[in-house]
This record gives sequence, structure tokens and C-alpha cells, in this order.
Amino acid sequence: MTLRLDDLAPDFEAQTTHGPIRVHQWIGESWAVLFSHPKNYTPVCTTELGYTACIKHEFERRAVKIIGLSVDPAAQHAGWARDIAATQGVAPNYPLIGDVDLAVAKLYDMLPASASGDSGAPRCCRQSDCCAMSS
Amino acid sequence: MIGPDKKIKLILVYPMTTGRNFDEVLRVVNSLQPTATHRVATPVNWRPGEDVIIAISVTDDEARRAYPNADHTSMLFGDVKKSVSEVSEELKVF
Repeated sequence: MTLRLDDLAPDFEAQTTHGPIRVHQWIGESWAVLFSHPKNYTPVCTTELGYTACIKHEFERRAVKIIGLSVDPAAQHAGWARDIAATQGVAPNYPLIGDVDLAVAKLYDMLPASASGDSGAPRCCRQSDCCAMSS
Repeated sequence: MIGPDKKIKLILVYPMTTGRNFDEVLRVVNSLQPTATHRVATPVNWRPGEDVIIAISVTDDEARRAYPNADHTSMLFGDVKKSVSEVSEELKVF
């Protein structure tokens, strides 16, 4: 499925670090940014999630909610959040979706052509040096 | 990016090896929100407070009534009308 501008954003239910949500209901009357990252502990995304937490107030003053997504279980995001806090200075202060079966990634066409579609697909390995470089 | 109407407003796709530019994400929000409620568009690299473009769906007569103080000089493509900065000041911008 290819999503295009002005398409209805597919609704879905998911587990997040802030509890279960149904995304349309969660968005409510706000705007929303749904951003994906390939896997917990990937260094580029570690910088992105930390920076997003730093500027969350900029989204809030524009009535924009932010929510992240990766294939890791929501319960395992906590350990990564500690890494983000340690290297970026701030932990994610917004929900992260645990998309363990790639249901949302497939629904929103977020997988690269090279991905096999299963959660065991190769992704960036954890490189703490890279995270530290960007802190 | 998803609007309050639950429709897709923006899709940005980056490879894993390139981090996003969140200044651009916020800049797009600054454009998406006023252009959703006003019949205007924002030009290249637009920032809040800068001139906006009256949407091409607005007729010349409508534009002159709605924005009497605008610069109605047609640009290259005839229907494109540039407004004065006071128009963008009316918008909810940040």
C-alpha cells in the first residue's frame, strides 16, 4: 500500500510506552507527527529521539503531538530511553510505539525496499561510540 | 505528518544513515497550519513573517477585495499573486 498526501491516515491500535492507544483517537483535534526509527539503539535515531524530546515544546505550542515507532516491544523502549538520556541529555518525553509485528510500518509503507519484512531484518547495529559522538 | 482531519499532510523519508532536520519539520508545520485555514501558499524557504502567495484558486477580483493592500503584481505564470507581508502577519504563525 502506498500512502499519498491527502490520503486518510490509517487508524490502528498499538502498545506504546504511554499505554495502549488508538491513533485517531490519540491525535484528537491536534496535528501529529508519526516518525519511525529502524530499531532501538540505532545511533542516528538515538540523536533524533533525544533532539525531538528537547524541542517537544516547539511542537506543543503548535498543537502538534509527536509519537515514535520502532519494531521493538514497548516494554523494551525503557532501556533505550536511558541511553538516549545519557548520550543526548534528555529521554523521550512522548510515546513510542512498539510495532513488533511491523503492522504499523507496513500500514504506513515505512519499510525500505531492502527490508525483508520480518523483525529480524538486518538494521544498524548498536554503536555506542556513534551515540557519544553526537552528544 | 497527520492533520486534525486525520489526513496525511507531509511524508518525509530519510535513509537510516542520514538524520532528519527538525528545523525543516517545524518550518513545514509553520506553513501547513496557516495554509490549511487561509487561501495562501508559502514560497521557497518561507519563514513566518515573510511574504506569502495568494493561492491560485483565488480570482484576481477576490484577491483585490480580500487583500486590498497586497502587491497584486502577477508573476511569471500570470495567476500567481504575491501579497504584502501584512497578509502573513494576519496568519497564525510562530
